[in-house]
Amino acid sequence: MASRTFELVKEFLRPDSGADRSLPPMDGGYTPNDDLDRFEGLCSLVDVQDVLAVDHRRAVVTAGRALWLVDVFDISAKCLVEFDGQATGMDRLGDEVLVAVTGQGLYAWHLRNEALREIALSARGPLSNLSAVAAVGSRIFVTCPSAEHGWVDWPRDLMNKRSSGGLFELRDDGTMETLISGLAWPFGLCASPDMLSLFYTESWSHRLARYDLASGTRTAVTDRLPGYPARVRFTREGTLLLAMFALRNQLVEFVLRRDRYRGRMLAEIPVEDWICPSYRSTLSVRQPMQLGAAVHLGEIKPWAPALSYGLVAELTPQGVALVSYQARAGATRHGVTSACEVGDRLLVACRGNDELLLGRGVGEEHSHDQ
Amino acid sequence: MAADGFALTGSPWFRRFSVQRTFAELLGKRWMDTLAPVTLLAIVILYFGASVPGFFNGANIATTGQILAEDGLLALGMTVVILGGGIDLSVGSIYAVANGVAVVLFKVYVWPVPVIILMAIVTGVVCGSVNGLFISHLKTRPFITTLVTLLLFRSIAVFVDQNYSARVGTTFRVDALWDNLANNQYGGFTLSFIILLALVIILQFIITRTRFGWQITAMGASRTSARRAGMRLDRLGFETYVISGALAGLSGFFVANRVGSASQSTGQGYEFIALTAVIIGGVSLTGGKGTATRALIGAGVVVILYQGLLLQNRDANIYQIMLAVILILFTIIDLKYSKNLDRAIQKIFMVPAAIRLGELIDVNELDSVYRPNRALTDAEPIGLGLLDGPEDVVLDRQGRLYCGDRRGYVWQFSGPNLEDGRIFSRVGGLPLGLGVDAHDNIIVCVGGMGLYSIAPDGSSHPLATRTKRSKFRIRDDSPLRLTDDLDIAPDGKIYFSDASTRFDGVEYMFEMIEARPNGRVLCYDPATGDTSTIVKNMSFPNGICVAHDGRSILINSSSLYRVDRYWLEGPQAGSMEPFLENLPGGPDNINRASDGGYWLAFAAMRSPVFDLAYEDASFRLGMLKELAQDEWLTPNLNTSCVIKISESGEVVEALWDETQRNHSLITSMREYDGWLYLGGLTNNRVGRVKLSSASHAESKSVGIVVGGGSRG
Repeated sequence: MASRTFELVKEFLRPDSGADRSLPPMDGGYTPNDDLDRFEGLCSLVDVQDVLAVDHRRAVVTAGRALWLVDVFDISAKCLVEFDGQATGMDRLGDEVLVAVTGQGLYAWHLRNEALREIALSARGPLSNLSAVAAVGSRIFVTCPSAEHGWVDWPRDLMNKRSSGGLFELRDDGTMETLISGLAWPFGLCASPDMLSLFYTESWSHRLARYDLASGTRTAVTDRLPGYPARVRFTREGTLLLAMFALRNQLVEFVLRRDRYRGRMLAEIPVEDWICPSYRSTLSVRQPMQLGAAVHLGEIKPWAPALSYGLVAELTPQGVALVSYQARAGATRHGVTSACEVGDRLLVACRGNDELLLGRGVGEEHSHDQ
Repeated sequence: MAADGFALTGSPWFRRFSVQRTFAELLGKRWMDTLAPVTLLAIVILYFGASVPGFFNGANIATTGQILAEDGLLALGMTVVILGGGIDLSVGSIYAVANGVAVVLFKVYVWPVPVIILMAIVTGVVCGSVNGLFISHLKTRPFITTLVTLLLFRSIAVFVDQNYSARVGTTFRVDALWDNLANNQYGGFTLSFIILLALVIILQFIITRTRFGWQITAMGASRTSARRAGMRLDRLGFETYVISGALAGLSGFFVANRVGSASQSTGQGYEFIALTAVIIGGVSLTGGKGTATRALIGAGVVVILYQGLLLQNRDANIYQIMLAVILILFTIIDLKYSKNLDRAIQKIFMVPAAIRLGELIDVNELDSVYRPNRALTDAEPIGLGLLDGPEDVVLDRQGRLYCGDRRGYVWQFSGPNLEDGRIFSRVGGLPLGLGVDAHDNIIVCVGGMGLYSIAPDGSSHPLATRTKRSKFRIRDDSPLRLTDDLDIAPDGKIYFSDASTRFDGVEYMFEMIEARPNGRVLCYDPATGDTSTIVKNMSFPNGICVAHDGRSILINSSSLYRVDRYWLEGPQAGSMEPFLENLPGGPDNINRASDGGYWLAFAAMRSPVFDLAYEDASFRLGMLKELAQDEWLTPNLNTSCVIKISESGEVVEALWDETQRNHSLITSMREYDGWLYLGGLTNNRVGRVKLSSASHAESKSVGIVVGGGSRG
């Protein structure tokens, strides 16, 4: 109480000394558009998580407990294998696809032999709770989003302001070496094309960061992302495809500052009714609403504050957004978690709408009015 | 005696009062501007009264009054000029010239005293005219012009003094009237002080109550606006300097009368004293703000300080230093106060209340009577593309439909399928609740305006726009700010709600967030034309409905999520009893159904997080301060739920448009001839659905059984 009073007095005397509560503006490459709504709906996949190109026309997809193979030419999807847990992140290792499975560990699916191989399994520890995996040569790196909360408990991890995730290297003997700990929900992980560094995202601190493999140092590429980043992948041109499943919201930030209210909300209210970013709107009349989201004359304004959003951005390796494909308030293609290039087309995993989306290609879909 | 709705909030009694709100309302009062000068005056009087023996004795009071008369007149003149946006630094010199003229005329030329008074004033007028001529007609800067004339008039005074001082010093004249003016006391004060008081009253009246005074204020507040409003600025400005000169002239006569000599230093530095007095009094240097009483208060401070220090035998420089300090202090206060006042009020005006609601029913549960459905999704649209926000709908005897519109219209739809829409009346404001009286007039509650009646030819006239002001309220609550819904009793009385005494028409969201008992329910009696409050301190009273038997009315409270019955007659007349409590949404309008029950629409549905925010007043306060309005947490406004209630208060069924596509919000419904008509504050249409039951085949509209005619 005393410190809060002191803060108020300090802010009154020196207004510049107050905390920076601004949210990054949606300008430049983040200029709002409705491009995601114009994407082709490839197929419906419940709880779709990650997409990874296999060749110029096929991609593997994790959705729910299964690994799928989709063909973007003849629009077909085939279930390859089902796991005993939620399949999350993927990466290529030679002819194999590495798949992280919650509660289990890491598997590898051989694309030609169509055989499943166990890489490392554990029912406990970080290995049982993996969000993403990346292979550099024969080395395998994984991220564990949180030491306290499981994959589906992410709202609790965010609203408790936790940062207990980490980046690990999986050794051949099955042990995990901690490279970085104390990450705020690392969601995405990928290796740079030159194989010298890893790029990873931290959702709760709105950060895209780079980990240098040689020196073991980490640097923030950008920590003022306008939304909560999910997975990240490189394109052939060397740019980054970054998916964001929700935008930062003034009300959520406000609730994060209000400890008493947040504490009671966490204790007394079911998680689906929280003031918290989400993958999709539940359409329940009990969900939180912000005044700007009121429907007027049958329409919701696209710039209305919303707890969910769909955004895929193409970034330079320095973190500058070039273009982005968005689904705004009132649309349904929210909660985008992953995107990759398949041939010259863009494949997007839209978890909020349980859908795979197909865009024409990086940099081409974006429509400008002029 | 009006019933009190405060108890419904379930808050302890002391929550009726809020220090912060009281403070905010006090700051909004114009007379609060004089708080600082009055406090300072009290401090000065008390300090010298306690520290100087004999400060309050008759002789000292009379002398102080005399000096106050002289300085006060200068301050008055200065006030008029500053009010008009100018400044007059030459008052001290004019005072000196008039003093010299008066002394010389009295002693050397032996003129009669009344003529001398006149001549002193004329001297002031002439000097003031010189100022006015330069400033208003030749458009020179007031500051530099009066600085120049300060020196000019000063040299005239010196000239008079040098030429006549020898003869003045050696002449002695006795005149009864002269002595009388100087020495005789009336009720402990000399005549000069009484004249000052009279002039203060006159000037106060002129400044605050006459066209001339308003024009001067307008000119000082904004020259450009005043000129565009057609005011003769050159003449007005000239007149302010003439008034200032005349008052300085009179002041000069009084000092001649009191001291009886002319000296070169007479009135030297008096422009500084007058300026200090004016600024202490709260007359804004930027113009457009100030009155005569403020000048008097400021002059009082300056003079009492002078007299007190004199009696304490302090060094004369102490007085100058203290004046300088006070002047600087009050210049800063004047600047900061006027700049930040509105913002300060804005920051503390809203004081959200902590409200603990009953446990929220989960409407999504399978067996809930409220479970969302699509009963209203395919409602037939009326006025699609024409309407913007029909909050309420009503139908007249011929089956024509009337509804409001956010843009201030009342629409009429006629034809077999109500397809012919036209703007029936441009009443203005935010038309909300509607009703049809026995003479086929459309009665409408206009948010921001009051209760209006629209004749069949479309002409509107106000029935009630204000009511009697409540006692013990700082803020004026007589205007009807947010009239919301109405119903007409069998005896013709119109019962209507005024949702807020603090927020206007379109600001209802503030009322929703504050959630204090700021509203009231009123009754308009067409026989007498009187409007009286029947329920005070009601939290967001919204829908009003006279019960089927006409013996009670039902009152919806949108922020307490409940409906109460107010008895009009019977043993409980004048008291309230709960009808429905702990609803899952904020009830908007309520109307009679044909089967003896009621229809009720929800303007918003409760959400668990908003219920929690309702309990946590500091959360809502922080939200108001830190977030833009669009980002505020609200109950869910994208809902469209109408419920049917039986006469005993049991919820029978709920009708929804759960897609929220066509009717994103339903605020009102009206049953007529087997159809249910739906209005919504943010909708682009009125909808209607055919009701399935056959019970309404007989009566066309749902009237009141006892003495009820055909009413909407």
